[in-house]
Amino acid sequence: MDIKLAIFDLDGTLVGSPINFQEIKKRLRERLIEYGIPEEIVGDLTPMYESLFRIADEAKVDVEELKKMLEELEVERIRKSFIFDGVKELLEFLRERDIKLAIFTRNCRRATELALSMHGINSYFDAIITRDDLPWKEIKPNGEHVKKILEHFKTPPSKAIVIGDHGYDIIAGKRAGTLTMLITSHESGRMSFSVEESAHFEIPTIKDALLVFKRLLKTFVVVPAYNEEITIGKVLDELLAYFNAEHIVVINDGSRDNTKRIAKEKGVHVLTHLINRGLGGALGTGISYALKKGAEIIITFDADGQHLVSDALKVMKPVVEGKADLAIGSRLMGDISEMPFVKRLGNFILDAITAVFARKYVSDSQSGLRCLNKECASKIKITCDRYAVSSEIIIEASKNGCRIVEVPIKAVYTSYSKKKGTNVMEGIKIAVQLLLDKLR
Amino acid sequence: MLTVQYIAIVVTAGLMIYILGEYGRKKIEWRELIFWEILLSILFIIALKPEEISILIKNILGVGRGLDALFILAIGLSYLMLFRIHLQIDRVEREITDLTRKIAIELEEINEKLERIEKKG
Repeated sequence: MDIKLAIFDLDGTLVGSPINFQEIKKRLRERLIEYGIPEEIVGDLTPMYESLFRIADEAKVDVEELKKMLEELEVERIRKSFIFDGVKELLEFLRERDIKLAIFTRNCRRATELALSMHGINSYFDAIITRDDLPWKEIKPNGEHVKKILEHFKTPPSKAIVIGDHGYDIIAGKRAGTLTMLITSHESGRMSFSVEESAHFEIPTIKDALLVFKRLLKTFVVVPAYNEEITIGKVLDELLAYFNAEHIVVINDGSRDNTKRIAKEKGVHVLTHLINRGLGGALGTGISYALKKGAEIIITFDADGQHLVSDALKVMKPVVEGKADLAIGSRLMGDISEMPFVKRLGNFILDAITAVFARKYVSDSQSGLRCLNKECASKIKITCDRYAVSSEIIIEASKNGCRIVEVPIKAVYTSYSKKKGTNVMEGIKIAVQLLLDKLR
Repeated sequence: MLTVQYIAIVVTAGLMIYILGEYGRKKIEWRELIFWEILLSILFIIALKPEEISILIKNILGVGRGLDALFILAIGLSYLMLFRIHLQIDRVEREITDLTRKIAIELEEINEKLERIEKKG
């Protein structure tokens, strides 16, 4: 992926502390009551910082006084803080790859700077935006908190990733349109309340982020294309928003139209088959090339415009997180209202045939949107040149012990994409091809 | 012997010599040599003794006439050969794909190298 900017949350992501935010909340409550604020106005202090503005307004006191109380507690907490295992290695890895680093935190500037200098990581960050640098209504989960950093670096949101341990981090990232990574198992430093929000990628600890980044930065997209001049330009533009041009491989499968020229103009790799070899031939070429170039993750993506890049990110998730070796985007697990009946029936029959050979049922064996890790891609031997390759990949993966999962996706059926892809005759050919393959 | 028998004997013998020559010129593999030589030997024997063999097959298969039995056998053999040709075409198709793939990858790598040289220059 073409990640240019990594935006980190601080507490619970990079640093933890034996004093948790529940404890801070308890102490703040005591101080506010001591200060003379009636208990009913103090309330449950969720979320803490925003509550101070409400309390100041209701109790007619200076909010700065209240903020100071919280700040003192936060600084005290940070003095006892520790850095999570693997943080420095991760920051070093990202910096070596010219990825800009930033901090966005709901903590105050004093505590943030103290934490970064105490743990020797302040030099890694090119921008630090704390709650003190924004109007209180714009701090996360408001997307403005992230947008301010994006503007600073002039980076488009699709080239940035937000890494945090709380739903607030993920919500802010999503509102700003960035990629998101959620740390799920850090207990120290987590906020005093939780908000459920699913991220693009999930990891147990920050230490695991290094491996995930290694995979993300070496993700290749293989796009087989045969006479796709109408759609290839738009499909590539959408992919280029998230993926590096160096890592997009278009296989121009003997097209007689302008497919090659259009793809070349986008700056991606274009491998040309001098004669048409079919989907299987094209996928085989793309996968071989990607592996040769050191791909860790390979996504296959149709050139006819029936896939969404947002779905490609969903399909990537289990493979990037190391939970699966092959993920298949299933159009039949998602919204199938737009899928023509004949295609649905054909798919079902081919799924059944594939299941017999693979000994694993996949609800959409003919899907063109799939993601494989390097190990699985190396084990798969593609011999079917034509459409039977979709079943063959599943059969081969299953035979080689790869973990296969399905991810629901939405297929976009335009009058153009309906004409492309498998039809009834192709379906029969696929079935015959699979049978002959067994006899060989 | 009938004239057709003479023709069949000459043709099959000629083909057997031709196949041996092809093997000698290393144009075919030994497996193919054995397959074709066995097949042609059978045809040669049938050409020598067509009536006796057709009666023998007729008795085995229980078909009305000896000639019908020969036709059935011939059709069966033709299907077998069709399947064999299918497999061969399939193999050739795969080889073409491998070749196309190799050319596509190598051309792209050459292009990349040229671009790098151009940038340096």
